[in-house]
Amino acid sequence: MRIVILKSLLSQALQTISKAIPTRTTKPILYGVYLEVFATHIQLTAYDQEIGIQTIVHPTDDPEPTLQIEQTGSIVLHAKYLLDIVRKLPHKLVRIDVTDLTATIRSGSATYTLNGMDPREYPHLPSVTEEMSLSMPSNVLISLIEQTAFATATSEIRPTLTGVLFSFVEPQLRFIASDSHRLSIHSIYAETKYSYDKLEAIIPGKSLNELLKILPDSEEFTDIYIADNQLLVTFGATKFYSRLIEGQYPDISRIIPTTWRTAIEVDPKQFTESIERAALLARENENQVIRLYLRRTHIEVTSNSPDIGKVTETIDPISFEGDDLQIACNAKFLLDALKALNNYQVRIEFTSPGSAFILKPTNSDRPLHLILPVRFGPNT
Amino acid sequence: MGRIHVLEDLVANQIAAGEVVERPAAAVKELIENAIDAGAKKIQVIAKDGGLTLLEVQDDGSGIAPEDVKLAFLRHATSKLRNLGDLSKLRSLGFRGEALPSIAAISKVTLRTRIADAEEGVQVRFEAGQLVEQTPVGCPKGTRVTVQDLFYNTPARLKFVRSLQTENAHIVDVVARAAMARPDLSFRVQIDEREALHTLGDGSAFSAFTAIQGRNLAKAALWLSLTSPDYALAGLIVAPEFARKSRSDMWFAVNGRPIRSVALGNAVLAGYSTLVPKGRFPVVAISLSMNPTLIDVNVHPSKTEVRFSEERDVCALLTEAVKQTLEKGVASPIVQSLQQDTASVMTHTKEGSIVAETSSASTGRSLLAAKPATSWSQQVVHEQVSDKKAMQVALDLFGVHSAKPKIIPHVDRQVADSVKEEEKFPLHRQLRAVAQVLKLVIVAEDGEDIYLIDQHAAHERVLYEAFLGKIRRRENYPLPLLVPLTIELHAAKIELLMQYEVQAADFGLRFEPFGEGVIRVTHVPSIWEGLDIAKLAHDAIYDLLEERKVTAFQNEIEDKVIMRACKAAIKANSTMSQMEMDALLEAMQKLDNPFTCPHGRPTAIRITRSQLEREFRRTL
Repeated sequence: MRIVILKSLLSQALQTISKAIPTRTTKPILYGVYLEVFATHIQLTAYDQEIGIQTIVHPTDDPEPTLQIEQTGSIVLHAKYLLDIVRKLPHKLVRIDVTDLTATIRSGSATYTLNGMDPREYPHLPSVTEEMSLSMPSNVLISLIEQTAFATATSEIRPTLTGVLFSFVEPQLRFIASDSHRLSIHSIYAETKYSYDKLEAIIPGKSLNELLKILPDSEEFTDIYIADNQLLVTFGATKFYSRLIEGQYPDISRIIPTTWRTAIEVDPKQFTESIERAALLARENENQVIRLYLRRTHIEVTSNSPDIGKVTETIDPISFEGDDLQIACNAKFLLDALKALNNYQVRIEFTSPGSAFILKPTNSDRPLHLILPVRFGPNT
Repeated sequence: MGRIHVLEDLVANQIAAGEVVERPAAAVKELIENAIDAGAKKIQVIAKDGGLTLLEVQDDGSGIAPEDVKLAFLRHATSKLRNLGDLSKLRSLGFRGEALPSIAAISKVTLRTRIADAEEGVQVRFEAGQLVEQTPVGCPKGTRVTVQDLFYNTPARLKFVRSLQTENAHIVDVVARAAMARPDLSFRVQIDEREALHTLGDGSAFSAFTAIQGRNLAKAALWLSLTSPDYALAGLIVAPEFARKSRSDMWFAVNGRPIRSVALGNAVLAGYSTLVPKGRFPVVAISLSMNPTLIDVNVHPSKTEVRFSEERDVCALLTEAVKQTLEKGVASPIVQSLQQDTASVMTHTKEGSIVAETSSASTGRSLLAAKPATSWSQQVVHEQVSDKKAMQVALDLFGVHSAKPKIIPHVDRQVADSVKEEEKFPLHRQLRAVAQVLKLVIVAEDGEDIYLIDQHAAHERVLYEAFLGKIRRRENYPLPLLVPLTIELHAAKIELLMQYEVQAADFGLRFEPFGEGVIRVTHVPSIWEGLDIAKLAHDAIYDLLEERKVTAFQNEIEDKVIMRACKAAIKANSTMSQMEMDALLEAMQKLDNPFTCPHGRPTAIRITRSQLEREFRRTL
């Protein structure tokens, strides 16, 4: 195979697929990117058996050539080395010549010779029938992921909780994530090519975080396909595959409280800063507990670490409804939720010191974040 | 009147006893050595209250002639040597003639003895070194020494006696070591009317080892045997996963004498290399045979230390023997028991199975105990220990009868084969990865047994061997130092060091004399870059002087490789696809040593089919 390609174009494609290159594996070929050159385009594939990414680069009609295909062929090259090399190359254009399993990479006056691996040994990407699909703008999918993926569990004790529940009940698509101490839900109305009664899948949170890094923040449409145990997301010239988590996601329908006794509205930025200050002293205790004293006149944010000291800060809420209340919770959960709601004015609804409270935009129920408080000690 | 006077015998003997009989176990040691030297086949030791109220050693040896009995209690009276020349050719355990008088000086001793062709025996009683009674007596052939009220007249010593349990343990330990050194003799120890140890004396090292260390360790033991023109080594070394926290189970015997030796211990550790983690010590029982002129046992009255005239040779040979033995047959660690005696029924059947197994094991090993052994002490002392002779001695020691030296290699191979068959990780079998569990362990099977493989440790070992290979192939060149290192050394040592100038330069280390008592290091190996050069240079030079070879930086580099392998290896708590598991197992099968990670932890645990069948009580 022989190609000449714009360095930036190749580097961007490599950057995209590198999300599916494992950092550690016992199967060395998985460190490689599968580079295929066809008569009309080139295709790059990486697949670490958990997620797979495939992207295609076409020649464009620009006056200056971006991709010139001289001879077709394929090779597997160590992705990390290739990406590092391409980034550092001195010239705008890169020439790659492959004979047998050796790639020669030239740019300006620099020449690299890279040992390749046999493409026949590269694993095949899973096949996903493109029947069951949903379409939505890329930035909508981004917001679905951003509002939920952070709340997934990191421990494997309950494997289903490490994923985000993808639940489509026409016409609403909901993303739900929980680590059993907090829960985040976001939903949208999605278009479908066909009509389904119900479509459910659990997508690994890790996969969604990787997807987030390569999804374009634009109105461009993405298609989501769900097969038996695979997810496929296509956008532009890129296909993103992920394994799905098997199992039954817990029923969350009755977890979300419908009534409240105390409700406040806060500016997420100001509230975040106060909590970050209080959390400085909460770092020492295991679950970073901070306390909120909600009063009609003001809100007090405190944290007390017996070995270090204590902090108190008062803030004025934008609005306050209902009764005074004291509640304690994990500062990190609160900060995560506030960060997700950064662009909204936030309403927080409490029921009692011992029951879950929710954070959401002032005049909407989407997205919604629920946090379980920490039990209050009698004299703290 | 002058102030200097000769000490009374009793005082002199009590002082001597201080060196020889520091605790009851030491008295036992002296007495069983006497018994062994008397050619006993069966030796029985009885102790009560830690040996303080009663110690009795009975043997079926040659006995003492009536006219010699009183002499035996005189200091420096011995039948074992006559002149200094004998000392260097000594094959008996005792020779100083101090044991009996020393013990008699600090206790009440009754000795009854009969020689084979006497019609009646004789009994003598000593108290605090004084003869109080001598009577003819009827008794079996041999000697019985009864020591009562040990230390009764040396309260200072009595004060230092530890708890009775400790003293009991020491007594058993002393006898066990002697029994291991002489598997051709039967030892029986009774402590407070309870049998604490019984070796059969069938000449089989394996059977002695089983009696002493238990069935589990014996099953995990490998047979070690190596001979050189001057030395013969034979013994059992236990698979690394049974390593202990102290050196106390590394047993050595030289010419049938149990000894303690840090040097030999270190040589064994060097043989185990990365198979045991730092601070762990394998269980071994190794006998060395050599011409007595090559050792000096007269280092300390208790004779548990010896000096080798060529210690380096002995240690190198031992390291090599251990290495070879482990390479031939390191077993993948076998799970000892899947569940700890959950029900009494279970325990009961287990015991049943233990009995059955022991007997089958011993018949399986009976090759080792083909015929009653001849004890080397009765053999002609050979001035020149030839290869064959050495081997013969070694095999005799472990009870392989060697009337026809020709058959020995055959027997040996059979033994080795049976060990291999039983213990070795079946590398030729293809392991199939069944599943990953807990994101930590790969479950694999080979159609016969189950393997639990630690994904991180196994991958670490794979990478370690790959990286090490790369580093060994890497070019190493002398790296010049802008500011040379100076090391102060004794002038004589500098002389010695300069002899190795060329050898060191091969590794990239260059140095030259720099004035009086100082050398200057001008170049260091390039692979030291980024390491503590001053320390490495110092260590390397020290190594050159001590070991006559450069080793220091190799260890340092090994550490580096271990670190790198550890970092690049797949971590616990990461999912592995089937493809990755298969790749790992395949890579493992190509390793030199797939069974431990470079830190010395095991990579795989094997659960055999028969173990499973036993646990599920399909078979008993």
